[in-house]
Amino acid sequence: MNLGQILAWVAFAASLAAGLSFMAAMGGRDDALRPARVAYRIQWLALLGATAFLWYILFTHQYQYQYVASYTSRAMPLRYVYSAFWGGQEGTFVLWALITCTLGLVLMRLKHALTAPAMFFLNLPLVMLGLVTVMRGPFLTFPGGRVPMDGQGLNPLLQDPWMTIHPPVLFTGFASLAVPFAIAMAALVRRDYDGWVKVVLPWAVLSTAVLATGFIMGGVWAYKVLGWGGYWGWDPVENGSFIPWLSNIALVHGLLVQRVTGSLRRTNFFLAVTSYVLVLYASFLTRSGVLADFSVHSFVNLGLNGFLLSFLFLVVIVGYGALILRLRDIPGPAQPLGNFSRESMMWLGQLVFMLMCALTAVGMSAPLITRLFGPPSNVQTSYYNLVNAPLAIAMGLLLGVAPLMRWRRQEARPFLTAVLPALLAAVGVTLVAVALGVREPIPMAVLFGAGFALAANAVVTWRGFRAGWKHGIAYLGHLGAAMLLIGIVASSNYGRSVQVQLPEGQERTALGFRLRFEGMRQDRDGKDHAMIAVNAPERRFEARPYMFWSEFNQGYMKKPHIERFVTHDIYISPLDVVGDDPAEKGVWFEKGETRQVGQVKYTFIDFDRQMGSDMVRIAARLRAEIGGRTVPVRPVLEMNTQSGIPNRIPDYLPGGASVEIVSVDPNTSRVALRLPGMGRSQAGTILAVEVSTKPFINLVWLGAIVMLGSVFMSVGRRVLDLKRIPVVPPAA
Amino acid sequence: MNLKVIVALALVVIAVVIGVSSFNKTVTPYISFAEARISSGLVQVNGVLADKQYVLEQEEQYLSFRLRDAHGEVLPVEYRGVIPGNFDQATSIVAIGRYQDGKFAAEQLLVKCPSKYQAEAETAGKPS
Repeated sequence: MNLGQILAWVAFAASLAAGLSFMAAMGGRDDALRPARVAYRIQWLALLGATAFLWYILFTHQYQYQYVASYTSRAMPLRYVYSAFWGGQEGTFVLWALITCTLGLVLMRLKHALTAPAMFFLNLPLVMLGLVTVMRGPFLTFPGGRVPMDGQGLNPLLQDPWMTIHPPVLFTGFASLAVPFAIAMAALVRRDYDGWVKVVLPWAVLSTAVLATGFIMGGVWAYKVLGWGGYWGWDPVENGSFIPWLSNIALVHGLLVQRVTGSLRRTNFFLAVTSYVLVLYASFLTRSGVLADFSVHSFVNLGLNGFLLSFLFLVVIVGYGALILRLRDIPGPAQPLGNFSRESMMWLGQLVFMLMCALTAVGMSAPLITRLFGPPSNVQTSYYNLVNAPLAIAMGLLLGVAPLMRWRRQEARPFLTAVLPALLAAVGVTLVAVALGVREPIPMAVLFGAGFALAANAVVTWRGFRAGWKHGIAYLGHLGAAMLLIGIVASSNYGRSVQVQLPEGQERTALGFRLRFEGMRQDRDGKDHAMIAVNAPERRFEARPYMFWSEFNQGYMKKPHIERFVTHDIYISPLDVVGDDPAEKGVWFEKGETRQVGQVKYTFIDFDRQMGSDMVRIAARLRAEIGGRTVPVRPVLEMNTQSGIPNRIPDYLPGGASVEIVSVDPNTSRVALRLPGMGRSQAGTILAVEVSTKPFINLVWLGAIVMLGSVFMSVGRRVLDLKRIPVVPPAA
Repeated sequence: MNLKVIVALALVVIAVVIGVSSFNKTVTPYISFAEARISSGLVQVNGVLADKQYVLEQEEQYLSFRLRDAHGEVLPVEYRGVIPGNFDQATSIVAIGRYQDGKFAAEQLLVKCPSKYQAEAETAGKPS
């Protein structure tokens, strides 16, 4: 039993104690509230300790821990050792628990009758996460006291600055949806069907904001680093963050309607439960391995299917069960939902969100659905565009209509005068689009809807901010959403794209740009990139798309070059290098092995290792037989453990040719050598690239920033509203 | 029935219709070579490279090879486009396309390479 496991056990025991005490407090025993709070704080401290301990063993390279050996290595730069925390599933469970627990600490400070029962329900997922950390946490050591020399290292795909921040933000978003779920459950238990709205609003808006931040970051990462060619690939992991967000944003709109008109009570409970259920469902799909054959970045199956499923079923049964029990008790709407009013339009908006959510969820569940009828198969990503595009038209129109309407009842005549200028603007946007080459009806209709939303919200935003910032921010967010929609349609449907082969030194033309591949270069980190001189009508530039061999993945890592302009980006994505001999990656030698390369016979005898404080120095002792003569050869590889930058010191054969270590594999005691006679064949290298344009991509980023900014301001606004709640003594 | 309910019902009906038709249109079942030979739509087959006698013309972006499935059956495949790297070292090849004129014309090739990461992560993940 090590410190990490002790802390995991403490956290688990404390979560049980806190759960039982909060249950007693919920049952009316006020004296249980103090021990519940104490147990909950102990749980938080233990989780904090476990987190610190996990980082400690990662940074100190304690390879007796399976997790450390699986996701880090000595050669890794420190900033990525830090993100190895969430490189594997076991670590993400700890992170998930810590974030949920921290949010609970904030919720616990609220003096409200709903706090104690809400804390009980918030603690439920913590019990589940505590259990899995105890059983399959990151603190398991290798059996029999085995300690590997070095670890596997983290997948280079994850060794990116974005990966140090993107996963924790997404997990904060996922974890935060537990709070609206918990408050909704508390309201059902306490039969407080309206009072919860004000309490839950800041939390629901916070989830919207954080989740959106998470997947917008993911989008930037996909666009700039992964070279998917786009910012969104409808991958199961992306969909998994998208569907709870859709459900949550439907909840936010429903809560606003309920606060003003007292309707949609049952709908809002349903949406609060559903949002959290979708978080767990998406986690199950992406983590259980059921999609392993269908996703670029699913986790390896850890045999946690049973656990993940029971977690999901627990929340489904508790959540929907409580709602069904109270269904008849929840009073109907205080005011009927108007026919032609702002709230009826928002209700339709909720419906559109939930239809998008349902159809996306069906698509990502395709391997499960088709398994019922035959062999599991997936839908192509075009499915998601096909189903979401028509709904986006409805979304754009509602986005424009709703803010122009009054609550409760809208007269037809003033509405028409308000809507007319926006309609004219939408026609204008559509005509511009047609002039720029849009011909297909569906993108045209989406642009019309988005143009309408843009114009309508520009007017109400202006009016709102003049009346005070609180009145303008929601409309500003809608303005951002409309820009985002236009940017998405333009950049994903109307970019031009062509694949072209670039023989070294020769000029080729693609999309009217003249490209000349000038060869591969190596940067300071030892990563190869191509040098391409591009002569575009707008400007001449040197494109440097990265494309380097990864020993770890046994494949090429690629990173596109993006040349930015105001109206569009030029996107140059490397596809393949041909004529690049894989032998130059080195010839692998086992200990004692003899091989003939060219005229020379090499035998690898053994390593000499020296460990310094921040330097590992590995020399390979070799014997070379050349022209009947046997000479010792001793190339050296120095690795700076701080920076991970290798320094190769070659040794020389009698003829002057050099022998260099490419890499070493300490687990199997093998060495890869670059030997004379196998140098890089420079002639005949062909680089295949995809050249594309991304029109109006800046509208995507601008819309996303405006939308996010407004949602974060809304969080502030709803927190300020909360301060005006009349103080109710706890557990009245 | 008032306006908003009619609009809502219309939205639901449209969404269901579009959802079902798009699903059927884009779902690409993994099927056996025998089924692929008689199917007409876009399908997905997988297997391994049957032999090293493939034709690869990088400049022309043309690739033709023989795919062998788990039952030992062989299917000739033709592909035009950017050839995936390490194509001949793949442990499994997924081809998405349609069968025509005695050959499988692939529109997309997915190549799975031996991945050190997955294999070792799996062994490391199991406590003993």
